Amino acid sequence: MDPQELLMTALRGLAVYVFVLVVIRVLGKRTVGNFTAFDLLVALMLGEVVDEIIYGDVPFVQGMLAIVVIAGAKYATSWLSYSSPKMTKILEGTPTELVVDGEFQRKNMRSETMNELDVMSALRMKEVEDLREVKLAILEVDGTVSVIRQPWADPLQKSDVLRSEKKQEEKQVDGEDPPPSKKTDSDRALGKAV
Amino acid sequence: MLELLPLVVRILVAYFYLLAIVRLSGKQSVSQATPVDFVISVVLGDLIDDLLWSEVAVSQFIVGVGTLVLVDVAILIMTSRSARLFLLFNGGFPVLVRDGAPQYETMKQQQLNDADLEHLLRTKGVEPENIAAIHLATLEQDGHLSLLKAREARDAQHHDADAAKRLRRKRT
Repeated sequence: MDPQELLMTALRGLAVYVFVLVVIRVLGKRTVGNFTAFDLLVALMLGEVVDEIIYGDVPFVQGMLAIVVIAGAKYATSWLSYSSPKMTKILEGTPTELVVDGEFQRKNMRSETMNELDVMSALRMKEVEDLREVKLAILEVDGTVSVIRQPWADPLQKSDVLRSEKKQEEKQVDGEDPPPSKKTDSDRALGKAV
Repeated sequence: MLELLPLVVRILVAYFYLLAIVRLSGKQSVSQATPVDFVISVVLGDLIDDLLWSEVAVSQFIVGVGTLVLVDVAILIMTSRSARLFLLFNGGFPVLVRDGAPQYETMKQQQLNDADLEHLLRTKGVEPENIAAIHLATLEQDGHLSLLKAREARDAQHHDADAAKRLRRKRT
């Protein structure tokens, strides 16, 4: 490895780094925001290209073009997805309800190939132990699970604690009974049949 | 200039094929990925590389990627139907702390020592002294720790305040 070649490798590395940085900034936050499984693959794709460029295994121009094409395709799909709800549905999918009012939505779970263990795991990550607390658990488009609790299970708010006799009558949270005696069972939390 | 066209075509083929496959296979988040998912991603990356620099034919790429994803999805479906298969392929959900007691057996299996456990607890904002406040600390699929606190240590909820209010009203 003569110094000349090493220098060229270093320069190519630097040039590619700057170029990719510029490209990603131009793509904008949303394009690289939701890091989905597909984004990981795109990142790997870029990585393969950058790899070849730095070692000079492909002509520099060819490599840069490859980066531009990949970034362009990403931008195009992102714009397409933004342009119409139907495209969003095709390109990104729609959120799926996993739990409604404490009940597993088994048909939805099946279509997302999730079983109870997966759902309970996601609930635990959101510090939910008891299914009864769950008003709605949704599998979002980016794969994360959002949990909306029943009103009675929501965290305390200031209005609950501050002493205001007048407000006490109005603030009666309506419709929710307190939950039946909550015998929190670690087996239930782990999703085993109780 | 024109000799760059095949490269562009190959990139676009790879891009949209992967997009379609990922959408159809239903895989979504990276954050809940298991170690197997990452291995598959790396292999896919390598397959892409081979196509991009025309070391393999497009047909080979399509079949190679397709097969890999198909097997992955098939395993996913099988493990989602059977709890036993799920545990076989993915491992269980190791419980590291149960009702304030560290589960040393499980920790040994996971090759975690005390320092590791303390670190994991800290990521959830729990000091080692407060370990008694933990009902269940589980190691989830993606390596994160999920924390369920003991009843008294849990954040207060609406119905707790309602119960307290009702009590107050009864007394007055």
